[in-house]
Amino acid sequence: MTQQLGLVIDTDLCTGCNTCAVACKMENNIPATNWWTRTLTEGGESIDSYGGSYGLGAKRYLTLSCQHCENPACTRVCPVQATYKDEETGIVHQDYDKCIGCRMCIAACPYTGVRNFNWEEPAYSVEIMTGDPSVPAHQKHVVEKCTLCNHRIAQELEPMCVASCPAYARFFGDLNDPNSEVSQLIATRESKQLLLERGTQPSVYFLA
Amino acid sequence: MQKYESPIDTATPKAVSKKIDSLTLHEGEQKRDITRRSFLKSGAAVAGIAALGSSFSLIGCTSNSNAGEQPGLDGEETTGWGRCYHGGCFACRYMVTVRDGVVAKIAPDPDAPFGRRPCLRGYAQIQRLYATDRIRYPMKRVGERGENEWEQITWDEAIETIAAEFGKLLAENDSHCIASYGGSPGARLGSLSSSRLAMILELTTFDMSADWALYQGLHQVYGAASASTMSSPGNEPFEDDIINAKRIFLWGNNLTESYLQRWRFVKQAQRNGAELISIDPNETTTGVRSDKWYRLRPATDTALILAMCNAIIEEDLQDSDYLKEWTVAPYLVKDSDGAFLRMSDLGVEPEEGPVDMMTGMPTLIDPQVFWDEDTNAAVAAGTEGAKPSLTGSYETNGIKVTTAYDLFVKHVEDYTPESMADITEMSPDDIRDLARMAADGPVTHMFGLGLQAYQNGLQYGVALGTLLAITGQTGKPGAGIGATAYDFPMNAMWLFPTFTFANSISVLDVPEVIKTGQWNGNPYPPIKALLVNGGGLVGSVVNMNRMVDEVFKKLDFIVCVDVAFSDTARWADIVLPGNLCFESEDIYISPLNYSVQYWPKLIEPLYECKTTGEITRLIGTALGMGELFSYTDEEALRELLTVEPLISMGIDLDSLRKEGDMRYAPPSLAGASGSYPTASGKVEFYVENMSARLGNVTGATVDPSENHFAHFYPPLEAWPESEAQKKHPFILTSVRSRNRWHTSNFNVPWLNELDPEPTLFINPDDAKSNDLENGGYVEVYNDRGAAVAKVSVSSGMRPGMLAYPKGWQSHQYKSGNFGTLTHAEYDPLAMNASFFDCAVSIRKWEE
Repeated sequence: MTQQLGLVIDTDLCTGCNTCAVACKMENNIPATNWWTRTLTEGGESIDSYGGSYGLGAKRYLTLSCQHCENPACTRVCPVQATYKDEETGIVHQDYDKCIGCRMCIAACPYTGVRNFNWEEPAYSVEIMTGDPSVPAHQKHVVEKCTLCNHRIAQELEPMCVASCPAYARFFGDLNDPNSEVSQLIATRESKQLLLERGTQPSVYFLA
Repeated sequence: MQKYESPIDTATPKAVSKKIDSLTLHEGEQKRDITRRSFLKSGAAVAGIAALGSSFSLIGCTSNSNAGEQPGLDGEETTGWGRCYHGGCFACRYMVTVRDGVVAKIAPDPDAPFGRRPCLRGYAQIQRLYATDRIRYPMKRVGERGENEWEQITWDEAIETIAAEFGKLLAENDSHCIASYGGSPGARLGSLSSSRLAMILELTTFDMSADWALYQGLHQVYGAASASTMSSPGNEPFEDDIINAKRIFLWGNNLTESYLQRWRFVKQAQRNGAELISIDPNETTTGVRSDKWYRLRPATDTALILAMCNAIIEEDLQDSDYLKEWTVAPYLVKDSDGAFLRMSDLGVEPEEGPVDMMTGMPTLIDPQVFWDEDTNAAVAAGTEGAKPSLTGSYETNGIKVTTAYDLFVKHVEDYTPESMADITEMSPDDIRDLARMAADGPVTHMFGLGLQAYQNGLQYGVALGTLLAITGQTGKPGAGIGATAYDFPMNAMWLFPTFTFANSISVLDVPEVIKTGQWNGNPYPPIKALLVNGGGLVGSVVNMNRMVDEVFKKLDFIVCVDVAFSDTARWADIVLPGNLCFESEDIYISPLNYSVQYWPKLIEPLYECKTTGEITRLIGTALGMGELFSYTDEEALRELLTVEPLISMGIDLDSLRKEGDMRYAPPSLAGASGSYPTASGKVEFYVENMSARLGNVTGATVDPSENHFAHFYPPLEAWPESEAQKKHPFILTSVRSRNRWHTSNFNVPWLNELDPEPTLFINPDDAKSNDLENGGYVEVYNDRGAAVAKVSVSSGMRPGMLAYPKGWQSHQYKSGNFGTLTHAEYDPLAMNASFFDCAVSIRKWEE
């Protein structure tokens, strides 16, 4: 594997605004009710709420999408290799044409909700195809998820969630390259990955 | 007969252009313009506008289709600049891709000013444009008013009906019997046609009266470039200057949610060493990231500032040089009447000054007076070489006088940190710490507008201005108020071609004016008809039920131009389909960043939608004033830009088409010249004659002698001892939604997937003691109204306070509307809606 592309998210800058989520939805023409990236509130019981007690409350936002793990749980359980790790970039892909809709990958993935299953024909709240036309058409009875905007990477553009962040909190690059911006950020700032104990080696880092 | 909830799309949309007018493309964009046939996926049919027409289906339902059948997938592709505009936002510039005549993609523009990237609302504008419930053609009411039953009519019928109704009213009544209201879209030059109509016809216009208390207070101290612009003394550009601040005071300001575009610059300043100080009753995303969070009782910021001033003076931390040089502090005030001593009091005849533009008469120059320490005598303020004394009481020419500063020192003796501790619910130590930090600059103050949405809100503006004056925090890098808005240059004469004017009445007064037939204490013509040009006249107003019952139900005839069936549109007799940003060329002269911002027209207006300019021309012409309404939208923009300093800066429609954004003022330090737009040219924290912003129904005035200095008094309802709180113990406040802006975007599906329904934040202990569970429903009620919302338990809420994200329309609630709960009482000086000054009760709600 030559590269491991991934994301670094500065949670001190991130305000949980969901611009990444909506820009992603637009760019990838994602059907109604599916979200490839979304914002979770770490704190209280619901979106934007605080835990703890008044005056001592705690809240932070985590944006959650496919972690493009170095050691993915999904690829091992897929019976037809519809989900697989790209040798060159480290991106975890989902091939709609191969997917048989068994949803084993969803069960195996520890990061709840990052994979979406289209139970019905993909539906749209507004009848406009949005985003980049080279994004593969969405299909019924398949699993879909974040592609790390590989269609944009091919055009030498950053993933839409990174390019769109109004807080400039998101960074994209090759985690295997020690000189990349993302590697430098991880080396110099305190960071965490999600559910490391599951052994997936996720490629998304959250700066404290 | 059709009902809003049932399908309204029986007609195929008519006008969607497949080409962009070449005029709308600018050079920079043409360079990167990609005109290509895009790769067609898996043999899907080429999508065209026919598919767009046929595929619209049930309102609020999603329709099934493959991506391949969606319009926008394929076809001729061009890119151009786009922007949002929601009243008061930054109108970020981004790149819009139009594919086969359809707006299909929005992406950040790397060349946008300050690297500004649109927020989620920007990307969602595609859905707002093509929303299934967009108002597509003129419609007339067929049920009772407010029943929301409509029938499509032609433009001809709509205009004929409007002209007949208006024509009859104008023939039989004083023209003020027709009222005109323009909401947020009015800040775009293209919308000013409706103002022109109101001026020509001498109509009544409604003033929205929101967010003004703070500015009106601040203007008393630091002045304002013009009476109609909210302005504050801050350095420009904010984005470049904030890095110079040593401290940033965030007064009730959660800019991560209300002004996200400024957040990264504030954060950058913090990483550069600036201390972020959040002063807020509630915990916010911004507060969490601040270095310090001070919690105070809501509506007591004025008491806190005055106690800080007390502590600053006690510790001798005031900036005496600044006070002497730039403020009225050394000016002598007559003990007898509280007016400034003037040279005419000392026998010096006033001199003639420049001619007043409004009266045509020469102004009289009668300087104020200060005490010269060297000569120990009263001399004209500003006398060269004189040494003004900041303190002292004197007698001159038999008149007893005291310096304004001494009067202030005496005024704040009542505001010790100890005596304000109970009021603010802060410790005296915390108040003293804040005082020391405020005096140790450079300090940039940034405020939110919630803290002024109480009956006592104007006082906060005066108090903040006073704090700036006492601490000398303007005129240097990193100091001042980091929420600037300035006057914007525009050829206003275009609005008054007949030199006639409309009369502006506050929305807070409108029901009373209609009921009493009085305004400013004089008889006022009965208002019988209303022309609304966008905006939340119902959805954003306080005491919504009163507005509906006493205005919308009473009028004879109501026309509303809108893009979706808002709370306001639903109360109209005729709705007209307005246009959105990508459908017309337009310009916004943004006072938020001193720039003129340009929109190209990217597509023809969809369906039967028309620009405000065109709608106004149709009405004006039908009323027989064709010669005054013969201009094109382009000609109107050119005329409105023909004004200094734009002319000499080369800012006109042609240069804007090329450049997109042009700054009309150089970077500057506010007040660095030492001259302020006040009557004296100095910072007037001693307010000689407090002025009211607007007239009011009874013509009530306020005694200036009670308003020389900022002073604290409790708000009307949101106070433990208030009558209202005895009955309704909670304080209801609102927060900015990330998804909506005011009421804009209430109907955008992507945004509503993220945030599907009205919610209410409540402290966990309050929830528990009222039997409320997270995710359950609560009814919020008082004597005026009620609203049902989903409970969101959050420890960030101060006990006793509630907060709801604003902007939902009545039909989106399970019951009621938060807008029905607020009161419409006002301070006549501020004439401002007190959205937060609202006492309510809560109870569990079950369907």
